Amino acid sequence: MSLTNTPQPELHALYNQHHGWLQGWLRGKLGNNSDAADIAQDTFMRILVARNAAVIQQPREYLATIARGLVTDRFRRLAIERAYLDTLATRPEPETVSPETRAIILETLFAIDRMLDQMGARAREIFMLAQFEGLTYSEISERLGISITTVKKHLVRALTQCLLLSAE
Amino acid sequence: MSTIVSSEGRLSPDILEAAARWYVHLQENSHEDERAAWRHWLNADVRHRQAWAQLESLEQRLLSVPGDIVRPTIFGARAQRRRVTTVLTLLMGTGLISTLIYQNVPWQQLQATYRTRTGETRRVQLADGGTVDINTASAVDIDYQSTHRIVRLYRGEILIRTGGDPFNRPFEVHTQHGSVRALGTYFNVRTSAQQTRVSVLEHAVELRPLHGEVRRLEAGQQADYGNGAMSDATNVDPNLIAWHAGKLIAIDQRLGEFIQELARYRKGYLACDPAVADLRISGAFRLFDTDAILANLTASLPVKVVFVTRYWARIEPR
Repeated sequence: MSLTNTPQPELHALYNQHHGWLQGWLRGKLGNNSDAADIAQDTFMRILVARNAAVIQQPREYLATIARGLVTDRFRRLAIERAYLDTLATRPEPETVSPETRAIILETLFAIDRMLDQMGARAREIFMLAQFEGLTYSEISERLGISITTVKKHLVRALTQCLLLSAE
Repeated sequence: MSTIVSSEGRLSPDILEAAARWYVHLQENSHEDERAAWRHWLNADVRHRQAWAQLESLEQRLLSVPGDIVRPTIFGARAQRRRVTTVLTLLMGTGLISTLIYQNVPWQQLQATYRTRTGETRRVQLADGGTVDINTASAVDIDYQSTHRIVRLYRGEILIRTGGDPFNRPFEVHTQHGSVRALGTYFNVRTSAQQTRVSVLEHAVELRPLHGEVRRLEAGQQADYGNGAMSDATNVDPNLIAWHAGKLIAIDQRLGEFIQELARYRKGYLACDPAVADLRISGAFRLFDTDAILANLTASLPVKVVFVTRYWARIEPR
């Protein structure tokens, strides 16, 4: 991530005035000081990168909104990581995965999970079948009892949503 | 993927959708005239080419993890999430409203049972931010109600990191031999038919055995209690929670004890001939492959492993 060289005085002010409050608020929510410190830091990183400190109207509300999203992300990551380890554990052959590869796999799984969230239940099901089970459109149409045209329509929408999300 | 965004800014959803439509269409129709039409679309506008490039890098990313990993992981994670979402939403709400809802949650629904198989460990994230790590062959109930937080350990071993509770409900671990009340802390509990051993890693706990008196245990201390009197507090073995990192650590340990410990992590029968039980062993062993540990023993000690079946093994003099 390339960070800015130009100073952001508003960000400094924001940080000085609200960092302590934010971390305290998070500690109250999470009951854990080191997680609270991490997430408070990540929250300000977001603002640093977005370079929008100057236009924030209601700082605490805004900070809390970002922080809440980050906490949710963290729980999701934990769920993905746990499920990934469970998946590996059920494989017949033990696999050795380097820490780097593992980090990339987890990041990808996390991104896929977020993409699936953008989809309706039907689109998600079709997308999973086409993308990760390798079913053809006609196999999906048979399995779900819908027309091939409907399968394609859902897939187009699902892919478009994935593209919009990755462009964010 | 940000490299693809042009100087003209983000691509419009319409263009992305057109690219997706071509992509879906071409997957199963590769007639030459279709492809010609697609190339015509690509050449018509630089943004079409950008959208197509984004789509290709998305596909590449989606295909980078095998489908048979993606499917179970995603399903597993989403199932886990459904279980914790209620609690999470409540924790992350704001102010008074959340407090009111929080208190009216039917806590009975937040009971859960966890079991691990032999050789398996798992982590359970608690609603208050704490964690329970469950060691091999264990059975645990987590029971959070409006008045208390109780973890019931029926069998095996757990490592607890308590979370701060907005309602200051007491946190306890119950075993068949009594209860342990956490005083804001990190501790390990192991139970067998005969006794429960509590080892405190940070802060302190209060032991409340069924038989005997309440006693406070400080960081670095451990004690055993069962049907008889409670043992004196002794120092916690620094390698106690190596299991948490998937390791078994022995420092000049009797082979007999080592094998007994290893047997907890291995399916079937594993025993040590008394003739070699007093040999000494040191090392850090990776628990995920107990066969390799046994092979390692035969290389470093004058012993052999007699396998009757894959699940019946005995260490004997060589």
